[in-house]
Amino acid sequence: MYKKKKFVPAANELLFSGRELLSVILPVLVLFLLVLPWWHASWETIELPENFRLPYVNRDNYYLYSRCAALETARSRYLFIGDSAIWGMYAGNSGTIPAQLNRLLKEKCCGNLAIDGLHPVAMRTLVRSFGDAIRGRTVLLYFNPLWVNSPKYDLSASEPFTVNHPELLPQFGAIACYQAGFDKKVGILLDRYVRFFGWKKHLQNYFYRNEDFKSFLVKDHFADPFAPIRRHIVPEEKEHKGTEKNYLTRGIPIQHWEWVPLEKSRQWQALLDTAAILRSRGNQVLVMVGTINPGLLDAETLAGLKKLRLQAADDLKRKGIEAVMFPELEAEFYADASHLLESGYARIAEFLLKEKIIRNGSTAL
Amino acid sequence: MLFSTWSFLFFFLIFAAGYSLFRRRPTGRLIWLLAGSYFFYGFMDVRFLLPLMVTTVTDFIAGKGIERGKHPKLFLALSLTVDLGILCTFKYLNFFTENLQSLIDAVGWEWELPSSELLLPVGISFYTFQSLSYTLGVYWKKNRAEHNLLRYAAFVAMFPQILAGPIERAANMLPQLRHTPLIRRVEINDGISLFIVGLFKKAVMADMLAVYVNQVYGDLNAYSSLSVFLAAFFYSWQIYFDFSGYSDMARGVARVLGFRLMLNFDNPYTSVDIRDFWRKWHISLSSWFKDHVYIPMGGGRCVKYRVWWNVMVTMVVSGFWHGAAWNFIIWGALNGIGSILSPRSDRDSWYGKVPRLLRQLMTFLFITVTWVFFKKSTVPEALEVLRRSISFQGGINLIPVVPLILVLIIWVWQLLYDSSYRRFLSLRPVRLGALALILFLLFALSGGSHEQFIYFQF
Repeated sequence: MYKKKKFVPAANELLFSGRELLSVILPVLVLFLLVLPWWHASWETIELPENFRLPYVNRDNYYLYSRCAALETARSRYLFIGDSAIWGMYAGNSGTIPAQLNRLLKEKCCGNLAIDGLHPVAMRTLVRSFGDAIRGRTVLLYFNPLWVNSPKYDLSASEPFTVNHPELLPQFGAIACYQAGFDKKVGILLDRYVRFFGWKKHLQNYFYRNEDFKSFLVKDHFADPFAPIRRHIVPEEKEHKGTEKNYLTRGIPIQHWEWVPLEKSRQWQALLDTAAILRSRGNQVLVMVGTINPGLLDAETLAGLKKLRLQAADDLKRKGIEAVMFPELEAEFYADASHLLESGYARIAEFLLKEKIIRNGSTAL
Repeated sequence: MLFSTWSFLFFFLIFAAGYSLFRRRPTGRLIWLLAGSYFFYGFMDVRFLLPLMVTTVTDFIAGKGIERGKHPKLFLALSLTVDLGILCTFKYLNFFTENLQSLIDAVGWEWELPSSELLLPVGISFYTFQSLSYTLGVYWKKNRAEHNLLRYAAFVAMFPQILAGPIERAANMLPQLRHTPLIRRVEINDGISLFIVGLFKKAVMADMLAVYVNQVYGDLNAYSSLSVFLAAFFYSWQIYFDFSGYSDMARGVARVLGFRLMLNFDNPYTSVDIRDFWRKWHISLSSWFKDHVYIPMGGGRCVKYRVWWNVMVTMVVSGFWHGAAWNFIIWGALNGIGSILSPRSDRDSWYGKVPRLLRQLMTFLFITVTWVFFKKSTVPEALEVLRRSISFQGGINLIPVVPLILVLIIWVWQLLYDSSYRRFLSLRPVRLGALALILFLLFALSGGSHEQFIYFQF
């Protein structure tokens, strides 16, 4: 018969009793999950530039966003939240709507808390989970009709689709087009709700070129692993310098879109939810109903857009949310379908002042 | 489903809850274990279950047939044919057809052989060998036939070890499946300890070294000789951390469930000669080949040249088990030659007088050279790695200090464990300090890029 060999549990002296495991695991857990993130948050100082907007390279660093949002809330009465149309995809730091308003008003009263690619479903999670510090202010939420131009962008289609900010989607909800694996979804939820993971991602994103630490230790071989970490950081957008080129130079063809009815739209509902969350935190909310480059839409789509915007304003009014319709600007103010050039932003800023949406020295709408 | 994923954690929590309910009900326990194992295995691709089930049922019938004693050879042949037939179809068919095609092309005939599009089921080599060891064991009267299909199926498919071993023996596992598993605090503590160490080996060490190895091997000409040498050095450790990490986690999971899986790695890089290495590396496979190939051929109890032949055949077959490619065969052959030609500490008295550390370093160096053939898919590529690593050529000098220090610390730990200073490692502050460092590195360095377990491809 088979000669039974003696069972060897391990060959390294690394078997521990329950007490030993607890005596090491618990302090390590406390250190990493509680002490380090909180200590670092108080150690790291963030200086917001005057015309702050979350840098493009940090657009999915929501930990940084939450800390910047707190600082911006502390110094600005009006906070703009939206996608790249507000963030200023084709504008320099001083050319965005909040920056132009500050210049016109000769005071720092408007803050740009928009993020590139932030559709309303993502905005809802961003505000709920990372915008807790936004309280007692006037928040101007931007509704970009682009997000309801098709079931695909509305996230109501079932075909797989690479969604912007997947980390801000409901991970186990009914968004059929978002098809990440179970492990990725759990990882995203941990990043969102466990401060340590969000903080770790912040360090990787801000100081380690988005590389994971293992890669950094290998590729920056002689470097002190902690050397890239700086105490004082100034998150400043450096890539986007603005442009004078309008959409005509880009050769974008005329578009035909089938607008998703607002009553069935996932994105629209998410925008309403976002407004409700912000209001529950003592903010005054005003939704800016955006528009699309008229030069890029066929007549039918343009007519549908007008109807959609009116419907949006009506819906907001019914729900007691203040709304403002962005003026329809001529095509030459656009860089593409929904992004304005700096000259377009100037028009919008003037409009907001003229309509007394933004007022000097006042906190009220 | 990988051990280092959230899916596994959720699966295991649900499985363990059910398992504790059924623990004292033998049939319920086996059904739960089998269902959990099939779910775990089928999670990757449900089609993988079919060859597993065919192997299981065939060997179950064959085992009983052999024990009944009327036509034992016939039933053994059935088991061998079905098991190896399935293995060859999925794993080796393309290798044979490609080589045959090359031969046909060389002769000048205009025949186009079809190639197989079959997906290789993960872990097929592992469970096939585990199941085969059972029928061979019954035939050689090393173990009795199992008469409960549920129990036999649970033995073949047991989820902690189905994907990458350890390749367990029926004589060790079937008795454990017959009795109510003993789950005390010590089992749970040992299981957690093993899992933490295994996870550290895989998620921190193996994945970190993989970054370096892939980078340097990906563009060999850009790097200096020192970097290429270091890549070979790191690959030796990467494959060790990767595979032994998986084994540790598998053993840890099994231990929490009350099962004792065999030790699969016994600090192989402390070996003093090549044979010693093969007693410490992938022990479950090495001992399988020893029990089922080497000894039946005559083992070491033959004339010298016959022993050499036995060693070579065993090592080449072992290489071929790892993969259907020539580089694995050459890797096996090199190890065979190494085993035959290299001096042995237990036989050659002069070699025993060489300082132990020097013998360990020389053995490691030889094994590192053989791993180059394992890693690179062709002989010229492997030779190019070796040439560059000793040619003192310039290029990018990439010397990752932190990974290097970590590897050296672990190597020193293993060398101490293998020496008379072992008691130093058993001191509580040392052990707890090591655990703290492991957890620190797990928190700081795990996540991000994940490499597939290397041995899953086998």
